[in-house]
Formats: sequence, structure tokens, C-alpha cells
Amino acid sequence: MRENMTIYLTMIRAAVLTRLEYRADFVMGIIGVFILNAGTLATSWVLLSRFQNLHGWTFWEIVFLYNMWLLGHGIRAVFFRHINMLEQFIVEGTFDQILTRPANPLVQFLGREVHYLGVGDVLLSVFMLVLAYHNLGLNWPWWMFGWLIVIALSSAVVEMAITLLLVSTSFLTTRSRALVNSASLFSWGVVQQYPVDMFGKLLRNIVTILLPFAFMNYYPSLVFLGKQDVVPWGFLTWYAPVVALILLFLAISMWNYGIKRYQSSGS
Amino acid sequence: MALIEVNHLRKEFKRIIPKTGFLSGIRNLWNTDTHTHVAVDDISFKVEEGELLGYIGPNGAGKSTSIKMLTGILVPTSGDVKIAGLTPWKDRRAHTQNIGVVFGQKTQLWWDIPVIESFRVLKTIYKIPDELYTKNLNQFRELLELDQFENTPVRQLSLGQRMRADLAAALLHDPKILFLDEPTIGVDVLAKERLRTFIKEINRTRGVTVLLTTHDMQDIEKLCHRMAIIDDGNILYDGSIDALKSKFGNERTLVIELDDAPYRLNLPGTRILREEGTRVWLAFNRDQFSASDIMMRVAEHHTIRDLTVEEPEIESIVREIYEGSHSGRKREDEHVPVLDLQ
Amino acid sequence: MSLFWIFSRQSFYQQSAYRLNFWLEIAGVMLQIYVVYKLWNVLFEQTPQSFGGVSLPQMITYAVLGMLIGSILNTGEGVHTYIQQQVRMGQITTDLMKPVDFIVHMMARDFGSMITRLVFLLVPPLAISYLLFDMVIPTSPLRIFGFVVALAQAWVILFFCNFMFGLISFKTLDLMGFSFTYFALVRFASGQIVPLWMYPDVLQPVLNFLPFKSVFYTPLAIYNGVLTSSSMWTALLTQTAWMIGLFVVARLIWGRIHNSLIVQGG
Repeated sequence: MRENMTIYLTMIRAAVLTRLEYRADFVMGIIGVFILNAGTLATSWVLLSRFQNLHGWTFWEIVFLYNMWLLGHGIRAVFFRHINMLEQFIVEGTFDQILTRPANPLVQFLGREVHYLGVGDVLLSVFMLVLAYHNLGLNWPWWMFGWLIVIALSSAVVEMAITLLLVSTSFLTTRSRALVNSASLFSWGVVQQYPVDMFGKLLRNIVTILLPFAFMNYYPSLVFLGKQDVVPWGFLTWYAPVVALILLFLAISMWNYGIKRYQSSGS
Repeated sequence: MALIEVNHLRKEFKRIIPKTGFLSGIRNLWNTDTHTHVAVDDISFKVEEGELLGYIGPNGAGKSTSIKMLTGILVPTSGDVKIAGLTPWKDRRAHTQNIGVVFGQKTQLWWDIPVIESFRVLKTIYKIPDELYTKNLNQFRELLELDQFENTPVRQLSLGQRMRADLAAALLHDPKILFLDEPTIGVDVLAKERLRTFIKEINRTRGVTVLLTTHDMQDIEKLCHRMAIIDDGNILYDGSIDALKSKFGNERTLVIELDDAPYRLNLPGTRILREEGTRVWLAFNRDQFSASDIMMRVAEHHTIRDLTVEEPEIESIVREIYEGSHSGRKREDEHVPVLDLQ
Repeated sequence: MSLFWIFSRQSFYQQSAYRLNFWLEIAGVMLQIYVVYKLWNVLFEQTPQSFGGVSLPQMITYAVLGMLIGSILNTGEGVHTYIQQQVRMGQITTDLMKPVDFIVHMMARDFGSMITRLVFLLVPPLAISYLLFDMVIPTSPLRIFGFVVALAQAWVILFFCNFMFGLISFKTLDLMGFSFTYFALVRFASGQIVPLWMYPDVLQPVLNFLPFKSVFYTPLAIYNGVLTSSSMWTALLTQTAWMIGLFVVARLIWGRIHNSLIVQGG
């Protein structure tokens, strides 16, 4: 464990040095991310300025929901954006190199890159969360701010683990992009900006059990907004970190199985 | 016991057969036909410690698949490999400490950061003690003149410099065995010579066993004591280069410079390859004639100003072996013999 | 003209090559349709009066078709990403050497991929949607005609928008930062997700001033019957005007870039 951490940190250092070579992307990345998210929020604003609330959620509550998602997503994007590109790592032979080295392949893969884009997400989401807190007139006890940090990290792990689990199928088919893209639709197409219980049981169960993206923002934000007693399954609001750990375990198991299959079937 | 022992190694892949013809794009949507492709059929060989083995074959012969099994990347369908007592794919992590790998086509260094930074990462990954790291680094600086470019990002290096950096990176942890896949590809003549000298040097001074794949026969001739030729997943030849030449290269070429050109003779047992100005190239079988026989018979009719005997080029011999194996396969069910001359 | 079909056919085959991707993409489209279906149902139940006389089936039709047209008229991938790739790899000159006008070549490629997506990604999910949901069917031949014309013109307009956007990469080599802006702008200003009549009044002049309204809103609103008779003809003519205007501007800009490329010798 300690050994893996040392290797990971050394690799992250190299990854940061790599990024510093491309400073211009930093500014463009942050501006781009701001505009992209502003566009989505603007659409929500248009809708809610006409309809006042969506299934009992006001505009600022939706803003809170959205930016909880964005915060977790941003953290995962900074450190783990490249897990979506496993397919490319395999096709280009970078993964074979990883296997010719004595360190844990997952540690080597995760430590390979860091990314600027997520930085914009994190900055924007923190700013918008503060704004939402203010506009909703919230007044949390002190420990809840600590819990928010725990949730931000667990959201990042939830998204990262689900993606890793799916992307590990690259080892079997070397074409996982479509699978990951379709699955992540449940994340940015459903969970991101809508309160999931408005979609009915089937879709709610999918994003709670099968692809539990709802633990990135929907369930955790219930307690922050004082809604845990008014919606079904509100008690799940406390379980996001547990879900994150279970997912991480499943993802690592799938990853290991994938490598085994890759080594015996090749590509 | 030999350092590397490969026994009846075999590797099959399953591939989907794409449909062609009418509406193929749509029919491929539910296509599940597969066929089994044998990349490596049945390969056995041994490598002793300190050997420098050239491993050659045309593209798609099974070279890189077998290297991938030897380096622990792939698990074979059947067969066994023991390298320094370990099975590469079972004891992968211990095994990787024993080997260094260089793929000429793709650097193993971090593309955008200075070479020395990549070395630092590798130092951590391979858990290289400080003392050894400093010692090795200093030695490579001297042998490969790394100091010229160790603070330059890899993407700005010339191909020759990049290969030097890659070689140093692969050797930092003192591996017993070095796998080199096309180490001189695309590199200019001078840089090639330098890389070869270095490979020879570390083989001699450190006793590193080298397994080298290449398309450049000069690499083989200048570096290797021994070569294995692989095609269609089987070894066609395994032995020393001299033995290969004497077995297959029994044709010699006599280059004669005449005072009274043009050449007018038609000697039995010789073949005119080329005439140019006052010079003529005569091919003959050296098992039937000696060079002096031919020289004397030419001298009966011509005035010879100068003459040399040319050795056959290894490249043409190898080409003959490939062609031989292909024509052999056309006669169905006939086994292509493995030629072992040791 | 035959070259146009060769390039289109090639593009069609490339797109239909990967089977798993296809089924997953269909599933993804169906999910998005379900999401907008649910969204508008919830909102209609809450406050039917906010829809200004538009019925729920009309609204669902708009939303479903908006999703589907969004998946064939694409801002994520298209002529702009192709140009950017070619410029970045330094291969744009090989495109210029082809014995066919560059814009025609690009249109052919784009047409091929659009038709592929239409056949594979629009028709099947639309059929399924009609089976599952209560949606309006345009019965009058005039409306169907209007829709087909509007869709064709929408494709041309978006093609030229994408094309000119792609030309930015000749200056910057990279589009990443800009593409987020472009993507967000098209999504917001085209009425693809929320119909433009629902936007606050302050935004209306701005929306009318941009070509994106013609890309999504016009065909959708003709299909579901919000734009009829005279307002339909006005919308179609506006599209045509945009089409011609964008074509002229694109030609001019491209002409200048092309010339400077020739002067530099590629």
C-alpha cells in the first residue's frame, strides 16, 4: 500500500510536469468548462423561470444538485479523466509497457495523467454551491461542511469506479467507448440536473442500484437540502461513501479480471 | 540450466470474420463468426547467459507475439517458458525486475518531460537503490553521452537520442536480460553504429543477455552470435550466423577487373551476374570450384588486372529461407523441417 | 456529382461498421427520449396553463424529435472536427489535392454520415416512440413537405456553421476551448431541448438574430403543428435566406484561406 502510494505520487509529479508544458490549454480549458456548464444551467433557468419548480425542486435547489455532481465530476476529471481512454492505451501499446514493469498496473495507469479541465469544474461548482447556499437561506451546523468534503470525494470515487468497471471491458473487446458513453448518459443525461424520483421507479432503480450515479449528487444532497424525509429512499442520503467503497472494490475486481483475460486472449 | 528456456510455445487468437458483400454493414451488426488464428505455432529454443540472440522474421511471423509472451505481457495457449527460473506470466512482477524492454516504435519514456524526470519515475517503480541508480546513470552518461540531452523533453529528441535514452531507461535497474524490438528502426547510419557499440559493450561488460528483433541484417551481423529465424509461427532456423552462411550461402561471387574488356567467355559452372565497364561479376558454387580455379581459367583468355571474392549477403540468404518455407507449404501436408545446425 | 455519392457511400460504410456501438447508441437515444418524455409529463401535470395552448402530445412530439434530430445534426462531431484533425496532422493539403471542390467534398462526407445516422439512429427510435407514447402525426401533405424541406435546409445551415467553425482551426490549430462554447451556444439557442417560445421575452430578439433557431426549432415546430400556413412559409424562407447567406460567407472565407495555403505551398 505504501509502496503503491509512493509510486503513484512520483508518477503524478511527472504527470503534472507534463501538463505544465501545455499552459495555454489551462486557460482555454477553464473558460470552456465555465461556458459549457453555464449553458446547461441557463436551460434549467429558462425552464424554471416558467414553471417555478420541477417535481418540488426550485431553481436554486436544482443548482445545488447540479453543482454537487459537478464538484465530484471535476475532482475525478482532474485525476482520472484518462481512464476513459484505456482503449487507446491498449491499442497504442502503452498498456503493454505497463505490464513489463514491476509496479501494480492499476497504479501505473491511474498515475499516468492529470488534466486541467476538471479544475474549471471544481472552481465553478464551489462558487455555485456557495451561491445556492446563500440563495436558499441554508444554515448548516459546522459538521455538515466536513460531510460535504467527504461527499465530494465519494462522488468522485463513485464516478471513477463505475467508469473503471465499464472501461475494463476494453480488455475483452478493445471497444468499450460506446459502452462507457451510453452508461455515462445516466450520469450527465439523467442524474446531473434532474431529481431522479421524478422519473418513476424503473429509472430510479437503475441509477440507484445498477449504475448508481445517483449517489454522486441526488442522495447526498437530500440531507444538505433537508429533503431526506420527504422523498422515498431518503435514508440513502448517508450511504454515498459506503456505496463508493463497494463500487471501488467491484471496479478493481473487474480490472484484475480484465487484465487476466487480456493476457490470455491478447488483441 | 539455460537462462531462457522456451518449450513448445503456442499462441492462438480468435478473430471475428467481417462479412462482405451485399448489405455487409448492416449484417455485421449481429455477426459472431470467429476463426482461430495461430500466431505462434510451436516454438522451442534456449538462450544461455551472456548470449546475444537475433530473432528475425517477416511481419506477422509471430515475432512480437512470442516476445510478448517472453516479457510476461501475454499468456500462451500452451507450452512453457522459464526465464531465470521464473515463468514470465505467472511471476510477472518478479520477472519484470529481471528484464529490460525497449520497443523501437514507441518510447517508454514520458513524452513531454525531460529524460531525467522519466528516469526518476522508473527509479521509484523499479525500487532502484540510490547507489545503484547513481552508478548506472553515471556510466550511461559516459557511454551514451546522455548529458547532452538529459534535460530535454523526449518529444524534442532526435530518434537516435531517443533510442539512447530508452536503452539507458531499460538498463537502470540492472536487468539480466534485455529485449530489444527494432532498436535501430529509422535511425541514421552513424547513430545506428553508436547504438550497436553500446549494446555490444553492455553485453560484454555487464554480461546482459540480449534478445534482439530487427529488420536490419546489419544489426544481426554486427551484433549477434546466433540467430533464430521465425515464420508462420515456427522457427525455421536456429544457429550461428557462420553456419547459416556455410549451409545456405555456398554461392560466391568473383569480381574480376579486366584489361581487355569486354568479357568473352562462358565457363561451365559460372553465371554472369553483371558487367560494368571493365568489371564483371561471376557467381559460382564454391563446393564445386575454388576461386583460384575460376581465376586461372579466366586468365587463360583474358588479362586480369584485379580481382576480389564477395561473401554472400545474409539478407539474401534469409530471403531464400523464407521463400523456401513458403514453397514448402504449398506442397500440402509436407512438414517444413526445422533446420538446426548447431 | 458521382464523386459526391462515392464520398457519401464511403462515409456510410465507415459508420455502420461497428455493431456493438450501434445497439448501445440506440439504447442511449431511447434513454434520452425517455428522460425528456418524463420531464415534460411532470411539468405538464404541474402547470398545464404554462404551455400556452400547446397540447401534451404536441410537446412530447417536439421533445422526442428534438432529441433525435440532435443526434443526427451534430455539433459534437462533424466537418469541423474533421478539418481540425486534418489541420493538426498537417494533412489538409491531401484534401485540397483531391479532384473535387473542398466544400463539395466536405458536404458529401457530412451527407453520408447524416444519412447513416438518419437511417440507423432516427428512424428506429422514432418508430418505437410512436408505439410507446402519445405523439402527433402530421397528416396534411403540406406539413410533411414543409418538415422535409425544413430538415434538409437545417442540415445545410448547420453544415455551414460547423464548416466555418472548423476554419478557426487554421488559425489556432486547436478547437477544444472554442468547441465547448460553440456546443453550449447551439444547444441553448437552437431550441433543441426547450422550445424557443418558452424562453423569456428578453432573449427573443437575440435568438431571432442567430441561425441556430432555423436548425432545430423550425423543423420541429413545423412537425408538431405549432408553425402553420403563413408562419411556416416565413420560417422556411428565413431558413433559405440563412442558407444562402452562410454559403456566400463560407465561400468567401474559404477562398481566402485556400489562396493563402497555395501561396505558402501547403
